[in-house]
Amino acid sequence: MTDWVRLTLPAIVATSIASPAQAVMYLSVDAAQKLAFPAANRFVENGGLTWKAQAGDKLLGLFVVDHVIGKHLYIDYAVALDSTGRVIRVDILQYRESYGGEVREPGWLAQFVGKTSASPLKVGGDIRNISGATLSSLHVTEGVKRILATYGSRAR
Amino acid sequence: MEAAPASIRRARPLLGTFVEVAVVGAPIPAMETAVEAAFAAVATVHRLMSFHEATSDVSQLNCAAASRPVQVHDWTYQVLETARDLYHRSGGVFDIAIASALLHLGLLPRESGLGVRSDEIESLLHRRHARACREHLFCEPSAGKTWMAGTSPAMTPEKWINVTGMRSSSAFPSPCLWGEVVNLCDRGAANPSPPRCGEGSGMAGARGSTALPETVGLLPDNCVRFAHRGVKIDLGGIAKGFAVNRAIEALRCHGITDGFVNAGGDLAAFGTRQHAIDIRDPRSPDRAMCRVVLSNTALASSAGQLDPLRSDPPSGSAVIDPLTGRPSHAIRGATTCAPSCVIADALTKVVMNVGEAAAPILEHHGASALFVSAQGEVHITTNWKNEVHFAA
Repeated sequence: MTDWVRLTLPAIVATSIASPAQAVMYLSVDAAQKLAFPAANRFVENGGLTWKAQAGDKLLGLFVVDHVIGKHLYIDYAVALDSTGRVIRVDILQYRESYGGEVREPGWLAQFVGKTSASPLKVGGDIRNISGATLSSLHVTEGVKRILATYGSRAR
Repeated sequence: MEAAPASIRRARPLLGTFVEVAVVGAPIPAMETAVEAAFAAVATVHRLMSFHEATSDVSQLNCAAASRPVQVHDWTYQVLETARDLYHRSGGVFDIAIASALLHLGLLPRESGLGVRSDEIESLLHRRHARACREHLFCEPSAGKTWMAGTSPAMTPEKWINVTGMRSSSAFPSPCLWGEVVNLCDRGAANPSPPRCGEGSGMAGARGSTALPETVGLLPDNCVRFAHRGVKIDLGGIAKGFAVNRAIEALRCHGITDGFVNAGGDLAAFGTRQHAIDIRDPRSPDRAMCRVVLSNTALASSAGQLDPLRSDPPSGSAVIDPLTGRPSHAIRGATTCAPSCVIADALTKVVMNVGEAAAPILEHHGASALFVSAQGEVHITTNWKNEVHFAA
């Protein structure tokens, strides 16, 4: 039978976290361009953070880099439009979240060391993953719509 | 020194959140192809099960399944079957036909206008009353904003339901409106109060007793028929977990032996690697509450939704108690670990609603769980307490 135990969490202490604590680099701009347009042999800068993907002189589409910035989050993302102005793919390039600042403090990490566990923790190993309140991607979705409205006709 | 095996990690905005896929140990081109297939599977689930997209299976069902059987994609049907099993096994606590309440609370977009339609009210009353009395409810609009409810068309005044103010959502906080309906509903019947965390209410009493009303009928050939016009479904409580399962399956089909998929905190891992997962403190989501190590299993969490561009605390929970049609308040956040992500995802909603009373259904699915009460107390299943590391 499944039983429960209870623990009391420490009270939340208001802290000011100055720098992003969770940063993941998924793709460089170059790598994202090549994945979006594998047939392209050059990417011609087109002003701002936009590039024309070309195979020789043939226009394959447009590659646009944008970002959303907030108090807790900074996301770089890339949108690839084909030559008809449709979205081919959207990739997150870089993700920085000012979450879990305390995790970097040696004291916070040290308390996990030596805990009795069937699955010992490798502190400082893999990049951390997060579960909990769901982070909305609405701002990126809105950004993609803006890019489509601005550049959709220019890709043609 | 041996070189680390090649790995790739990609993220895309899907399912209303950020979906991340990470794989290791295969040639780069093979991993790129596999990751692409995993994202394609998630995108398919998004397309089929979005409440917001007019062409999705869910929208087609909500539009037409009350008047005729509607054929859906095999994956949608699988989710509906899983949801039906969980609905019965949880005594109605896990319920996908909760969209009417979500609409009313502004957690889902309304199709048109601002008013609550009569069929939405009827749907809520049907299920509310069926849970209270375990019998079919006759319910029809009467004069003005008054609905009649009872077991037959022969109404008595005390079984009338006053929904005055139902349309004045700006004048009344939503819970008051629902409270008004609930409190006036059939005074003669036992009026169950919402289950509180730690109490054996809700599930235990309902399980195995009288059959619950079957609002979503599953017919042969992937056809679905709703019981009446008031039924509206939302798969938001289960589709993300299903999408993670499909993405994992896509990776395996492409020969990947070690992978990880995270759809906004609903995540699963397979292979030999261990993955450290930080669980947000539901009281302050920019902080880590605890850390758990995952290997060959799935994990899901429920708490408020977090707007990353604002510093506000997370918005109200979108987990609705089917008994009251109101958001769950007794529990701030829940995390469940289960062999399958679709089960983990759904079970977080059950734990959010009934707390410790979820023990039998957790045990049935081989799941572990923790939840944080409104008082800041963590309740954790004993089979998990040595796996979860809390900050002191």
